[in-house]
Amino acid sequence: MLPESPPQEATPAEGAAERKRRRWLARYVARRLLILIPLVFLVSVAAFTLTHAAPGGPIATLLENAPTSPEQIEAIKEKYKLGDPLPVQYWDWISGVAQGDFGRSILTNETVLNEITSRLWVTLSLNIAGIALAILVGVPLGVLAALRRGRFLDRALVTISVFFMSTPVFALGLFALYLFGFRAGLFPLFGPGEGLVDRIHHLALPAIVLGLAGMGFTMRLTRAAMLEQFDMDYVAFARARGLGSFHVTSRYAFRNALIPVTTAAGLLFTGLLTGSVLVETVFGLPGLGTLLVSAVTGGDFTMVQGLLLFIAAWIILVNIAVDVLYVFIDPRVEFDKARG
Amino acid sequence: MVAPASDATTTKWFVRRISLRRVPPIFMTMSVIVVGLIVFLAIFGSLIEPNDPFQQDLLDTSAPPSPEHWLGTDPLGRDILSRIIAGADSAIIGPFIVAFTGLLAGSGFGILSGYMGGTADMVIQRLVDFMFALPGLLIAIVIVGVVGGGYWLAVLVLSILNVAGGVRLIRGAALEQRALPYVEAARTLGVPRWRIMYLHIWRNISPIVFANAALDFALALVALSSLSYLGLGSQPGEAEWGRMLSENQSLLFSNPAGVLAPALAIVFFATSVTIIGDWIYDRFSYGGRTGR
Repeated sequence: MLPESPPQEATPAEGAAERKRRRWLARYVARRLLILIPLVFLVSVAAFTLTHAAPGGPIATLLENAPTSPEQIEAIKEKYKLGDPLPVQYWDWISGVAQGDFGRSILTNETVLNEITSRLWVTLSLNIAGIALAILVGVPLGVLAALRRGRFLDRALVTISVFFMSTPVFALGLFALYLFGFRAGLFPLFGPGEGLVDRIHHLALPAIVLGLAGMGFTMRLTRAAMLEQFDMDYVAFARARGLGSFHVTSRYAFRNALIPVTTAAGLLFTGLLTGSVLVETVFGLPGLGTLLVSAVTGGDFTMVQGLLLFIAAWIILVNIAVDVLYVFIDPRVEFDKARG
Repeated sequence: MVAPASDATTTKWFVRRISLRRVPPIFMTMSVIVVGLIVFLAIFGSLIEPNDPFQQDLLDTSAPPSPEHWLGTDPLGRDILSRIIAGADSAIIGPFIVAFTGLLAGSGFGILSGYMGGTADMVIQRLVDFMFALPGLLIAIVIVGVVGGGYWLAVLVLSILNVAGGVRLIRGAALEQRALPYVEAARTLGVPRWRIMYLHIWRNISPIVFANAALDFALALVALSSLSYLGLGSQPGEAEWGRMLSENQSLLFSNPAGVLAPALAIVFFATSVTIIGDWIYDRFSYGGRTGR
């Protein structure tokens, strides 16, 4: 969907500039990836501190359903090494993580990594389908609304986007579940399904709900960005030169409007990730969202820590990808400007 | 995070985002009625509730709508309509606190950052960039859940996480104002800096401030009810629309009105507040000249 930059005849000077730019881009990506390390470190400290600072701490969770005697508390402290000083516990945990060992869930005794990877497909497919829907439907509708500025179609589309933006995604999910799952009987009501086709059938409605929630955002954003471009002198000039409306919209305004839209794409990705926590709960899907909620409410501290690291890495990587995409969309991004 | 767009563009982008432009008057009227009704329910609700919203009746659980219980009863036998009415105050108080904190901190730090520039600006902007990159609701889910939940904790966490957006928006607006002749004139006349910032500039950008506060209110309502839906915000037993949705979800196929009514209450309230915020912006910003 993103316009490729038109192929250029490379003069020797341009070829050198192009090579320079490519080298810069590689360094830029490398630098952003390096930032991942301190950021994930910070998140790990925050996650560790939070779970250990919670009222009662991990011991309270571990003792929840057990009769307590001092010996048992000692045994548990021994098993989970809770007697050690906190920095030592942190070191034990983080050095395990560095070797791919996130520890075991306290609630299920399954390894955290297994729990995450076995549920990843649900959240991942919901998010990918939702983002595709939000972009492929929301962006064209936003352009359409901007083209019909102030007319009936524009107002109708804006009203729709306000509705989707102010409706909590779980309420949207319940409406959809009632209307399309129960009344129309088009979609199953609960669970992830078995086998490929059945799974797609089960995930379709949640993905649509998530996509619609994101669509309100992309539509409004695209409309605003397009309107801003339509007000620019270069658009008036292009029109004055007699270029067709389609040409002006698609080749001139749209390409520039993509810049703020891309900037906001990071927000869209994190928004949908948050939304999928709620959608998974509504539809009873075993994804990372429901895993996070059960871990958080059940006080499963190893799971919370592992999930937080995983989600943080997810969000940071997506944001890096968006920033890199940004460089491609807006060739004017100067070497030093993007350095910040 | 790279902050690619210039500040002026960011501001315009945000303002456009929150601005509907020319809300059809009928929507505006309806929004005022909805908000008025909910405020009325929050204040006088206890007088007009048909039943006690907290009284369980284990012999009459999950009942369908009847003359006695207009929206039926929930799985613990409590009257759903009365609980919706009782939930109006938690739908107002928490979001109001979040929006008001955002308004105060956003105006305070935003204007300071935009007008003064320099080190203060740099420090504030780095903090804002950092907080802006955080996935707010996700953090709220984790903190509120791990620490042990509660409505007020949720309000506190959301209030803090919400500040960054307002600061960024208002800073951009203040930056635009700083270059205008009236500020220069005031400076020449020797008006103190704090007076220029918080009386002159604030008054000129206040439509943006209030429109943003309205948007914050709607977002906070959605976020708080989302937390409650997940069982994290309000405590069991409290009448809160989001929590009612999860408690009543099992009734979806037998008594849909009982589940969808609290959902509609959230949707109507959030949409109405958003529309009113847009109207404030369209009507008052820059002397109402930007309306398109």
